[in-house]
Amino acid sequence: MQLSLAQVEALAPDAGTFARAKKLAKPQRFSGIGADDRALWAQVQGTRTYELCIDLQGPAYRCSCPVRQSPCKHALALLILAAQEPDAVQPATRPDRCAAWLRQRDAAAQKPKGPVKDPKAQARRAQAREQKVAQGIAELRRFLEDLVRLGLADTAKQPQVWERMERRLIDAQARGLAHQLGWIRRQLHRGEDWADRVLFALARLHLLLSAYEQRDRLEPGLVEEIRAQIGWYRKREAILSKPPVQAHWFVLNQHTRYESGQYSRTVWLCDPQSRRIAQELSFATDFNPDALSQGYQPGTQIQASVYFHSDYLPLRATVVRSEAFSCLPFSPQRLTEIAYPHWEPALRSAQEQRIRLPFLLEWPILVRDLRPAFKEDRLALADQQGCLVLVEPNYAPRWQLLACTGPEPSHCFLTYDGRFARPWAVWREDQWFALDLDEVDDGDRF
Amino acid sequence: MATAFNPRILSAFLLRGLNQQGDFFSQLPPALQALLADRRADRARCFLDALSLSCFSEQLSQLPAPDQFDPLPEVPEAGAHPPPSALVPTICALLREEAIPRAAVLAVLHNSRYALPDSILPMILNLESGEPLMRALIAQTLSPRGRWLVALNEDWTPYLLSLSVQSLDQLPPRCQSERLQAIFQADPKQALEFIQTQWKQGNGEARLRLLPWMRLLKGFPQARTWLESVRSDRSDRVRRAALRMLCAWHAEQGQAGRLALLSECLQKRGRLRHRLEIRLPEQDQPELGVLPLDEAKLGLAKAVLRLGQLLVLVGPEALAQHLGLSLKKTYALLARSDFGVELCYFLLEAALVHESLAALEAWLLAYPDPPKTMTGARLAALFAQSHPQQIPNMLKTLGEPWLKAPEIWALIFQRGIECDAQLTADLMPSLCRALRSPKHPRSLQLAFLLIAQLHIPTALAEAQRRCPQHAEVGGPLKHWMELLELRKALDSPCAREPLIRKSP
Repeated sequence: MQLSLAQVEALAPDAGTFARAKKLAKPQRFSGIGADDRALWAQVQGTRTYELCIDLQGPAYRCSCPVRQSPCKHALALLILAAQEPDAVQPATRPDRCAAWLRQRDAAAQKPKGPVKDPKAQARRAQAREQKVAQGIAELRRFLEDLVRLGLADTAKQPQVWERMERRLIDAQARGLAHQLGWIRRQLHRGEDWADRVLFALARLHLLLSAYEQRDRLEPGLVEEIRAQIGWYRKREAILSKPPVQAHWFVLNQHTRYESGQYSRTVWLCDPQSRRIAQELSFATDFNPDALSQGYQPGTQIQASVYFHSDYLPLRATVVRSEAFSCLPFSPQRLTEIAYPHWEPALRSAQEQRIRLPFLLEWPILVRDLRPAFKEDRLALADQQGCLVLVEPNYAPRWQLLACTGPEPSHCFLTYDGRFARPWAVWREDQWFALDLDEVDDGDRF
Repeated sequence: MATAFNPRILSAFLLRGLNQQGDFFSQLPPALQALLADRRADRARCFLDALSLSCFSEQLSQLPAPDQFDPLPEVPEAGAHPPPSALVPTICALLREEAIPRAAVLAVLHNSRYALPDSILPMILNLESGEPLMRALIAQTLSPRGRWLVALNEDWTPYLLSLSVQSLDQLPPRCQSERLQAIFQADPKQALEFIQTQWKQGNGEARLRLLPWMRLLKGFPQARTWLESVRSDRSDRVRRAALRMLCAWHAEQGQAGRLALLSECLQKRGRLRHRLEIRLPEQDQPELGVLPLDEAKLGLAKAVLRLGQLLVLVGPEALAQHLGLSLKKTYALLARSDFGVELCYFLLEAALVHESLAALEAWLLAYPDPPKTMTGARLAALFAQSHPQQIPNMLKTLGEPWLKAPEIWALIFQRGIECDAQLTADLMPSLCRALRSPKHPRSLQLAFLLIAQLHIPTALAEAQRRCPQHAEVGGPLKHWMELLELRKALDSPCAREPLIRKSP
């Protein structure tokens, strides 16, 4: 097992936990450190002595500490120690507690997902959910129409009304809609152009509701996308049953966000051979922290099978890595070759996708030779032809972007939401700069 | 139709709400009125339909066309370059590490003639903008792109004050005059150097424009010397202007008045009077930079501050001569006064400004232990103004209590000052004591800073042997070792290669 500090940092749920883990990563704090091909284990001295075991194939973590975070600082500290002082981790026989846990994991993984026991009951449940969602949507419709009648300026002063509607949507099992409404609520009276942002978000929400109401007339792939936006989650087994795209994927960037007990992680991958970009989204709460996807190190290459959730517009995907900790260096030169030469073809491509899926939030694009510029004091990116696209307002890593690019042209990986660009990474020759979007406090925009 | 579906029009209506609009529909473009007319019963739904359509169509109609924009200024070419990209993760990790001071990492970079990596510049600039010494250290390790970036952000203006004057003329012209004025106010000595450089390069008109700036620098002996040399300038207008200023200058100096004031302050028993209501002879000429010391008007702190400034202006030797005392006695007299603690800084500043080692020795005798007000940062800030060759002598002169400030050692790093063998031998006992005392991680840090500076393999081996036994010390030690490895890597010929390649 060869680990680097950067790989461990990518696994951390947040920077604070990683910093705490670094302080803890001293051989004196650990006892009984051992490892084999599958796992790494130790006892760590915290407030009490905690039993710690890490399944390297997952990776998955088990620590007897009371913290629900995963990986906790103890697990990260052990990985840091293994990365910095490999001699401290010696091959050993797996202790019973660790062996038992790994057996449990294997058994759970191999447990056959049997056929549906009662198809009628399942159909009844599905119908009941449809009804609940339909009720939720009807209430949301009324809410939006009231909003239009009373005016946004008036309603925006009553956040409790919005929160009540969000809770109602969660009860109606339409989490996707609740999430979107929550985002709009957080934009109210925030920043100079809040009304503009809210306007477009409300328009998109209305469009989604209208599309759902007319789903019988739409093609099945689009209906599936609409249902996913509303809150029907695709089952992992169904996703993994599709043929994957097996390739060496470039990790473009990763962004982890923690808010109100919920983690969300966005990972962008690109396969230059098939010219595909994949977005892996994962969510976890304090109660099921393992649901968060494995962390990746931006600017590296991984061998993985990527399962796209939809054939209609392949973007969101589930990633299964061949080896948990293997990372290959990569040359961004191959990405330069597939990037759009300037804005026009890039935005045309994004608009084509938007026509296929009008409530698409953002579309990833790679563009060559963009230089930062200011248009009426707003940061923008200009291509070689002098065409400009504004960077989104409140884009937190703007100074990092300027520091990495300078006034010279650089190649850029960004997402475009129809109006603004949101740069995620820039590169020039062999240098890759992943922009630190963790600073962005509205990262979960919809 | 495009106007009808402009979402900005709908935005204004949405803010107030349909119920408040009154003749809302009549204000809309005809196309939208026609659309809404059919469904007047459900105006809200109509509005939402129109809103969705307008937003969607606007997003689809947006294709960029060549546009006017403000190009960013060019990055200056001169200056240190960022280190090789392979070393950047190590540097970032060390800069984020709490166990070792950032000053040490910055100093290692600076001594190896490398700049801060571009990608972490905003993080470092935001973290350290408040601390003057760190600001100076960071400003020294800025790459040309770093200086370019700092000039773009108003929040980072303090860094510009710390930038060397040579880099000022690399700033965009619109920033230059503002920054120049700020630098004149913050650091007149640096400003003088800048004017002298500009003077040599500029024509008669440019030199004439520079001359008024000298008014700000009249407290400095070097400024007066230089101004006298200006009298032989090849331009008549400049020569006359310089002469006028010099004549006025001599009249304004008021050295005699200041000396009289100081001696009046010192009572027979060597104590400063509590109330400093003395009037200066030049008080009715406020534009000449006089220093009224009315405590009732100024408040005690400001009165002492002005007294200190007065001491610096007069100079220690002139004061001692005026009083007919030795330097040591003069310093002792002031140190024992009611304001002795507050004057500590100014007395040292006077010694350093007038480059008097005798005054420095007198100051050390007067203050055997550093008072609380004399922090390491202030001491280092004063040292930073001194000539690098003087610093080893000062270190020798300073006793051990004064050497506990990490800022002093950061300064040694920053300036790349080589301490001689004698000094090393003198300091080794205190280093070894620090190494044996794991309860004092700060002392340990100092020790390692010095070790890193002096490359003492035996001391390193000793440190490695002793410190890993202690958990609290083992961690910092590990990071110090990483720092030393970084230093070696930066100094290695392999690391130099990219620089050689980049140079024309």
